[in-house]
Amino acid sequence: MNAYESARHYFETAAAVMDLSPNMKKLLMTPEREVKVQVALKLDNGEIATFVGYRMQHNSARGPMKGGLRYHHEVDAEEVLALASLMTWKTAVVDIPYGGAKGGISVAPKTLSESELELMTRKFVDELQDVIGPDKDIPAPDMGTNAQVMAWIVNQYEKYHGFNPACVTGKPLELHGADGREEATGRGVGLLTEVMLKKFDRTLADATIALQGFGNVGSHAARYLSDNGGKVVAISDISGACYDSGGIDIAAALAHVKQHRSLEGFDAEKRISNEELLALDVDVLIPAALGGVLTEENAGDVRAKYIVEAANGPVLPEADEIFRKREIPVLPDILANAGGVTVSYLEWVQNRQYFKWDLDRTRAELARTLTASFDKMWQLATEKHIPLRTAAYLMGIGRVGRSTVLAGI
Amino acid sequence: MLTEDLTALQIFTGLGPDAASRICASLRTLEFSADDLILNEGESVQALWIILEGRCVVSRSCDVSQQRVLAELKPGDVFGEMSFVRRAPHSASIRAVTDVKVCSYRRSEFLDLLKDDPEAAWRVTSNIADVLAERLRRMDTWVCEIMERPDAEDRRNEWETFRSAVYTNWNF
Repeated sequence: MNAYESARHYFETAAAVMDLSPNMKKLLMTPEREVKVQVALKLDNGEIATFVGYRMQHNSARGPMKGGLRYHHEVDAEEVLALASLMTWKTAVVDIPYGGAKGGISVAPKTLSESELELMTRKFVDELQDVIGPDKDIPAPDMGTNAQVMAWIVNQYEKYHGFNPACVTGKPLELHGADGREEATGRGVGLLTEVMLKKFDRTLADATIALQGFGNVGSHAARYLSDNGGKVVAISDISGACYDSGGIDIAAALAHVKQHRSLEGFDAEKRISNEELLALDVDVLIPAALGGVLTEENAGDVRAKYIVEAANGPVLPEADEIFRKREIPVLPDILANAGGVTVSYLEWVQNRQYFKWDLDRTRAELARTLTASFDKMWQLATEKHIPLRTAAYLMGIGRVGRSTVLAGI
Repeated sequence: MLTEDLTALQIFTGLGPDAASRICASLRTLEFSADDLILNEGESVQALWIILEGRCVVSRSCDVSQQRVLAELKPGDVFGEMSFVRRAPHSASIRAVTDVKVCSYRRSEFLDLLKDDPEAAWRVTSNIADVLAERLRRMDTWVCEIMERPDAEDRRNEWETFRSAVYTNWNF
C-alpha cells in the first residue's frame, strides 16, 4: 500500500466503526482545493529548470489549514493529498483550531545551490500567496525544508501582504520563530512514550528503547528519553545502526553527529543493520525515519512490546493488523508526532499576540496538549475495545464532523 | 403516410407491401401543441402510438417528487406498447414538449390483421417484442445502478444521522 492507500485504509476503518454513510465519507475525504503550479527558474549555470509544486487543502471545518511543505524528488499529487488528510485528523486529535493541508515541490533539493533553492521557494510563494496566509493556510517545514526556507517564504509573502509572520511556522528564532519549535516533534514523541508506558504501569527508568532515525525527530526524542531516565540501546541513521546494551550515550552521539554529520564512526558496543534494529528485544521500538519500514514481511520479527510511530506512516496497514493480533500496542503517528504541529500552533499564537513566550511555557503547553489528547484516545480505545489508531481517528473524525454539522455546508 | 415511410419505422419494419398499405390506411393521425397531455398515466386506451414529428417526455408520479421524467421521445419512437399488448392502465404519462404529430394504431385493427394476415401480425408482434426487450435491458441497468446506491431513505436522513452520531456515540 502506498501513502494514499494507507491513509484511506485507516480512515475507512474508523468510518466503518462510526457507520458513516458513503456520502458523508465523500464529504469528509474530498479535498476543498487542490493547487498545482509550475515553478520555473533559471539555474546558476543558465539552464532553465521547471518543477511542479503542490498545495493540497483538505479541510478547513475547524480553522485555517495547516501542514508542511516538502521538497523531495518523490513528491506527487496523490501522496501530498494523503498527507493533507492526515493533517486534518492530526490537528483535530490534538484539538488545535486548524484544518489540514500539505504541499511540496517535486525536486531533489540537494541538487540545487542555496541561491537556487531560495529562488525556487520565492517563485513557489508567488504562485501560492493568494491561497495561503495566517487565516487561510499556514505552511511549515517538512522533509527537505527548514527554518531558512520558512524565512524566505515569510519574506516573499510579506512583499504582497505586508508584515505577517503568522503566515508560516517553523521560522528561525530571529524572525518570530518559537523557542521549542525545533525540538517539538521529537520531544512530543518522548513525552508520549513516557505517558504510554505509565498506562502499562511501566516507567522510562525501567524501559529499553530502540530508535530508528537520528534526524530532527529521532535525536530530540532520544535526548528527551535519556534525560528522563530511559535506556536508549539503539539508534540509527542512513549509515547504519549502533547498539549498546548498557544504553547509548546520547549526548556523545549528538556531539558526534554535529561534528561528522552522521553516526558513521560513532563508538558503540556494536554496529548492526537498520533491519536488525527493528527486530531488537526491547520494550519500545520508535521508527522515526521513513514511512513503510514495518511491513507484512518483518512485522513478525518485531520483539518490542510497544511501538511509537514517530515518522509518518512507518507501520503499513498489513503490519498494523499483525501487531493488533500480537497485542503489541501501536501509538499512531497522528498523535505520536503531533508535537510539531502543536508547537507550530503555539508559534502562530505568539505571532498573533505579538508576544514571545519563554521555552518553559511552550514546553508546558505542549505537554498539557499531548497528554490530554493521549488520555482521551486511551479512554476511547478502552471503552470501545478498539486499537489506539482507530480511537485517534474516531476523535479526529468526530471533531471535524461536529464542526461540519454545526457550520453547515 | 406512404407505405415506405411506414416500414422505415422500427415497429412496422419487415412488412410486405400489402400489409403495409393496409396498416397505413388504418392509422389515425393526431396533432398536439407543446405541453399537451397525450396519454395520462392510469388511463387505458389500447393503441400503439408512433411519433411522426416533434418531441415528448415520458413521466410518472413518484412519492418523492410530483412527476419524474423517465425518458424523452423523438420522431420514430413508439409509446403505449405495454397497454397495447396487455390491457392495463398506462404506466406513465406522455406530454408534448414541442408541437407534436403522432399516428395511432388501434388494437382492434391489429386483431383484424391477425385474422386475415397472421404472418404480418406476427411481424408486428415481434417488432413490439424488440422494443420491449430493449426497454427491459435498459431497466436492468437502472436497477443495478439503484441497488448499488444506499437506501434512498437513509440518504435523505444522512445529515441528521451523522449529526446525532457525532453528538451521541462519538461525542468525547
